[in-house]
Amino acid sequence: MHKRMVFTLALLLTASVALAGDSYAIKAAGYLKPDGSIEKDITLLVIDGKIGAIGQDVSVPNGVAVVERNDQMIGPGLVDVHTTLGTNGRNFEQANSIEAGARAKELFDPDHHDFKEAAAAGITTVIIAPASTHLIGGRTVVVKTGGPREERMMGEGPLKLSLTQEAFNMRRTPTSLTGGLYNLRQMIAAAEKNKNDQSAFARWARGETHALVEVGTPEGVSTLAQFAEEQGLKCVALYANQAAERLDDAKSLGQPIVLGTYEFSDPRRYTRNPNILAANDIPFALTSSAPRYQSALMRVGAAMVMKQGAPRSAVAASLTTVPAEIAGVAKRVGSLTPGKDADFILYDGDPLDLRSRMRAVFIGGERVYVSETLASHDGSKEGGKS
Amino acid sequence: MTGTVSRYTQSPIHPVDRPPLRRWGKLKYSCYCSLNGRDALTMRVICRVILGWVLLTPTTSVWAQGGGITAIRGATVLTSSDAGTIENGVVIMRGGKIADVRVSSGQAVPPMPGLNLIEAEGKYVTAGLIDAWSTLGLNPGGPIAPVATSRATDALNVYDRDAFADALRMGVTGVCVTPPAAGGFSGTAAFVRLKDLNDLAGNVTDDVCIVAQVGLGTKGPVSRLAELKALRDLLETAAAYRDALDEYDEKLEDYKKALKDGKTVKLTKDDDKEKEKKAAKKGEGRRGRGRRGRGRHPEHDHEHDHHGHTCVGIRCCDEITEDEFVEWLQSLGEKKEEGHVPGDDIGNEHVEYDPWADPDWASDEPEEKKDDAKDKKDGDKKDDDELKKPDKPAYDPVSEVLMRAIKREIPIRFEVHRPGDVLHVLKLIDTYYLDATVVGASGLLPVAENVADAKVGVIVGQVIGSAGGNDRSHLRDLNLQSAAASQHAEVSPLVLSSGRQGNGVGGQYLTQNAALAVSGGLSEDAAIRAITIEAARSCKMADEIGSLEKGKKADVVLWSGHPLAPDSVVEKVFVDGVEVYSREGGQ
Amino acid sequence: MNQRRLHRSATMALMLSAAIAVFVSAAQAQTVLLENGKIIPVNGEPIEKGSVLIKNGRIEAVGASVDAPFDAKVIDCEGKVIFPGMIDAHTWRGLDVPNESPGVTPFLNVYDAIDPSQLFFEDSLRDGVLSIHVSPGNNTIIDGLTRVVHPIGLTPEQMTTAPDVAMKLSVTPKTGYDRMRQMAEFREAFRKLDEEMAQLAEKKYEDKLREDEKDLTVPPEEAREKGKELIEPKDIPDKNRNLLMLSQGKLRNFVYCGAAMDVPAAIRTAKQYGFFDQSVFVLGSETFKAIDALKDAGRPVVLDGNLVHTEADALTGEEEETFVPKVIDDAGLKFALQRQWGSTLGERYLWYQAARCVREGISRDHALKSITLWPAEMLGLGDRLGSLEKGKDANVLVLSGDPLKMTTWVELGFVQGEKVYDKAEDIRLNRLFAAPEDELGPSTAPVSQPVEEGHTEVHQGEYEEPETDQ
Repeated sequence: MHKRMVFTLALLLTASVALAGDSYAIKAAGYLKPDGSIEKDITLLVIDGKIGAIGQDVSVPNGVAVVERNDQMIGPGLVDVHTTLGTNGRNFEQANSIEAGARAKELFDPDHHDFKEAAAAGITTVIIAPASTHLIGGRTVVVKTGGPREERMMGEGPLKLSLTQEAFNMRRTPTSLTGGLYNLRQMIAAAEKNKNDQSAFARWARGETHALVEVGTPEGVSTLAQFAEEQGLKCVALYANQAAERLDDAKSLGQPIVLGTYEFSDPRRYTRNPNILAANDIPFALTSSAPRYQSALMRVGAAMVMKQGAPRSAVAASLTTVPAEIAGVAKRVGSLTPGKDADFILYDGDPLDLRSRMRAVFIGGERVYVSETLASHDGSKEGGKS
Repeated sequence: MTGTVSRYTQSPIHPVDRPPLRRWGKLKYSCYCSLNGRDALTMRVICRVILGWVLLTPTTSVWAQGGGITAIRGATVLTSSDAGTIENGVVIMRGGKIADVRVSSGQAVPPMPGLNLIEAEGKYVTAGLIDAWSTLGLNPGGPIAPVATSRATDALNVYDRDAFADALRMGVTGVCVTPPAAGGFSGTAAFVRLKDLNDLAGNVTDDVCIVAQVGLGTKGPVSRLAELKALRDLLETAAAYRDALDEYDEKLEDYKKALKDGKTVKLTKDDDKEKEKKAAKKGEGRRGRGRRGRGRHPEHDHEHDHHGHTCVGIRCCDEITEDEFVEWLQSLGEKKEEGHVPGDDIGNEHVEYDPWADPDWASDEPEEKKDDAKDKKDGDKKDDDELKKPDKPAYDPVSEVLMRAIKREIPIRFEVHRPGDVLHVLKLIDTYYLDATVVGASGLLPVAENVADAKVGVIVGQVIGSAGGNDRSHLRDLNLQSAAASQHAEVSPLVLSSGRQGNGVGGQYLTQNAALAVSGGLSEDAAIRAITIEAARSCKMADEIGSLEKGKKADVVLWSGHPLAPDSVVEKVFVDGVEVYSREGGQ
Repeated sequence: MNQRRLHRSATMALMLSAAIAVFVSAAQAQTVLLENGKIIPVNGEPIEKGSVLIKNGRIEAVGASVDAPFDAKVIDCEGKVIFPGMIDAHTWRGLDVPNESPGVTPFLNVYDAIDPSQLFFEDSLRDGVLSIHVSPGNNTIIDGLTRVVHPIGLTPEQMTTAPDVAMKLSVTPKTGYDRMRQMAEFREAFRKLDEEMAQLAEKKYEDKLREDEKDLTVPPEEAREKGKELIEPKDIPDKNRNLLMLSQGKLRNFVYCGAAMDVPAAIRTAKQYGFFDQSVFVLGSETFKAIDALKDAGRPVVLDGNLVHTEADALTGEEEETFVPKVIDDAGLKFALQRQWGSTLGERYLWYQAARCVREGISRDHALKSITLWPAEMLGLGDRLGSLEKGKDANVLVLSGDPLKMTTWVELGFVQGEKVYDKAEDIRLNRLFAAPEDELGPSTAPVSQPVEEGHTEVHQGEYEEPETDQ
């Protein structure tokens, strides 16, 4: 009986956070720093949807509500660099393989339930990308998975390309990888001539920005590395799950590698890669590929690669700072740093530990998800975890 | 081509990860470590006894038998037994068995020959993990064509040592390899202990359980309608077969006795033909009896006692005509109009739906049956005076297997996911009084109480997976799934496993699967038990392995941190007291 | 157009009959002395200059100097090599299809399906393969009886070297089966055999009592025991006869193991059902991983035509190649090489396969034995075939050079003392090599002439691998 009252109280308090309006502070047991370590007994101050301050010695201004969460830890909202959330399959362009002008910002449905699911898995920022069935899919878009609808769009992301077998078929040109690379060379040459062209493709072609390039196989990494070096391009290899087999090429790309989506059934040939990349100082990001895979697999994948020996700091970065860099929104999200958006997650333990449950997810200081099973199962939980 | 590169003649395991195989009983003479007090005394006594034994034994082969002592001291011991968690404990292994598990005194111990003392302060020790439902190392090599007579051992690729080594280095010491099923009964599972990766076949226990599936058929009957009927029919046939064999054994005894008493069987030439004819007819009759011999319709007073358990009410429709079938379908439709649809009220606590208690479900007793019985009676009477050789029931390979489940000699597992299917299976389990477990059970939540009432064990696979399923959208929220798992724990001991992954891998992430279940509300203790002792129990191995208890086989894992934490790694694995994996050199 | 087609088929028919006519007409048992040749007898040291005397279909003498009877036809083999006919240890070719669709068919016999007109036999002859073990394919469980034939003759009868040599089995799952079901079928087949034999014994005993007008006084198991001795060969039903012989260890058997994991299963099964002592294992290329088990078993093996096994490391993805015969040879096992069909390389020649073995470090002696003496031994024909020895069948080749040399041709071939092949009279070969203006020159059809749809040569596609095989 007593316990139940405590929960009701807890629920009310959580609810009050959402209602508190512009500013509030949370006292928590700790928070996950960008380097993967945990600073204990901290206060997070949220002002107008931004992080005002975080740390052990944060003075809470008068009139700001303070919520006690001394049994919980705070982690930054997760950033997922490759999803097709809310697209309902509308990202498939059948006729053309080269769609440099396509823009993902026009294709997704912001009210789709995919976003709720992603938010419930702690993913607060995502890149929505065109399908991988194109040599040049078009420009991606970076969005928040919750919060006020008009504020969700964060801007356009990098260009998305694909050098996988999927991108080539006999019904349209180019039909082969060599043909595709030939086409790219032509287009790049044209873009380099026209310095006024400020399109995403032209800027990538001139080496000013990076693009997401799906590869898949180890050979793909090598091909991409050669091509990038030849043309002076910045390329983030996507789904290069065997990049460690072409370590030198992965390194020469000079960009993070995107890995995923990891499941329990994956062989070590895939899951050992983060470990090796980290040992060679190559940053990597994990992706959920939602909705093809469950959004929740992002955290699971992180735990899996840690279990295979990947260092904690690299794994923490792979869920937050590295993907934020790739999406080009590192100034706004990716870590709990004053000035950034108040996208964070309350866990009842270490954010990187799968035993910890997500209690609530906040985007822009607004609570977008609260664990539904909180009340009904908390009893057994407290009994079990001493 | 590089000439002959035959690493397989040496060892197929990648050198980096190769566990130190065949390293029997490690000797360390110079451990100037501190060990004293009670445990030191125990160890010293044991050591001296061993030493004395060694000195008396002409050869030193005792060492090769694992005669040395290994002690892990100072760690947090998660025993998976009634002892629970022991902080600062000591686990002593000797002769392949666990000699003792208790709190360490922490005092110094002088060096002793034959003692391998591992100081493990701040570390964790558990029993070897057990993957109770796995396809690790399985290579069926063709489309899955399961039959009840299949055996998982036949598809176990003992040369896929990489896969087994991957599981071992994650703390798994035992795997229940189940035939990858495609609906219906699909044979028996095998249990493999990862004792020696070069001799996996030597550590296999066959016939651990029978495996069946509901609602996942890819061949044969694809509708639940037919699938459940097929399962019931086969069980019914097996039950009748068992009865027929028992009957035959009885008759044979009588027959032998009569022969001993000097009676003889008259053989005439005419009899020959008649007998053949009769035998043919009998064979038919037997088959018929096999299907419906013991009618189990409550309306027809055919209840009978099965090992103290009453079996009732199976529809016997092996000879169902198309018309009858249509009629039956229509009768189901009629009920629908009455607002009573099978399975409609599943999950609703107030309405109990029992398809078996439904009078319409059972058909009329076929007419011929009575005639058969009459014939038989007459025949029996006529032959009473004359001695007759009893006829053996025709061999039925499928029933031979299923009969063992009906006799409760071997447990049976039903992989079932939908709540409605779970209820049907529970009824099946009850009807045949099976020693059964429900496997998979992703949709168990609405019927958890029914499962609890039935006291049926539950084995859950991955609590999270890809979103490929059809009607699993309600389970896509991780927390809900995990909560479902925790719900199971409240109804009966839960087993967590790697599940039906189907590509020959498994077991590597048992701990992380358990960690997810913890986030869903399962206690850590229950989660650890779910991948050790409860897993062993589900494979009928709990007497030997699965927990750290005195006298059990010394399958022990030393972890750098809590086993469920993502950054803890396995430091050492012992199987039968022999160190089969050590992280040193690896990584 | 029609005319042309007619003309072509006529040419084809003519050629075929001519080819056969050449081989058959030359076939007369006679005494032949092959002299002045280099003799490679396989079972002993080569003789640099010596003679082989063939009489009554057998080898009468082999040596540096041989006394020949006055009527012997002398063939001067100066500069040539005399070599025993090569032996193909295991092939389904020569049959129309490799396997029957049911899995358990021990009552079948390849005799019923051998097609003497197949080009395969002509090619074998040209390639120096004078004994062919025609066996059902690998897509089976328990298949029928095999036969050793020579590639010459108009009927299977005429072609037969040795009938009913072995039984073919496979532990690797046949199409549509998985391993578990495959083994379940094995168990069931032998269980059924036991049961039926027991029933037969019981019946025989009762029949005897009936004949003697006696009453039955013993329980069934005793009757079965007593009835066993009463069973005569004619009582055994046809469908069980071969299987019974197999389970009694009286029948040689070739057991296919496609993967390493099948090897222990094959050994276990063979031992369990009593035919291990007569077993020859037909191996897939991956099976070298089970070399320990194979070594312990110590039975001879037939190797896959694909001699190199390539596999990517499960962890690193690095590819590794293994030359399989070397692993087998190092283990001290006797092995036979198979031809690899469907390949454009030389793998369809036994001598090429053997030459590769030498290149990879196997001794020349073993390489030569693997295409002659060892397959003869594993077929139970070690006393008849496989080497040039007095008393053996006169299956002899006269080669233009060393048997393992790329440029060597088969010049003459003798089967049981009869000259069945002469390169000079090989119409097809001559036509292939003839200059355009020659009478027998290459096809006179203009190059630009498109080949009509549906135009099929005799036995076109004969060498295509059926998908079900392997």
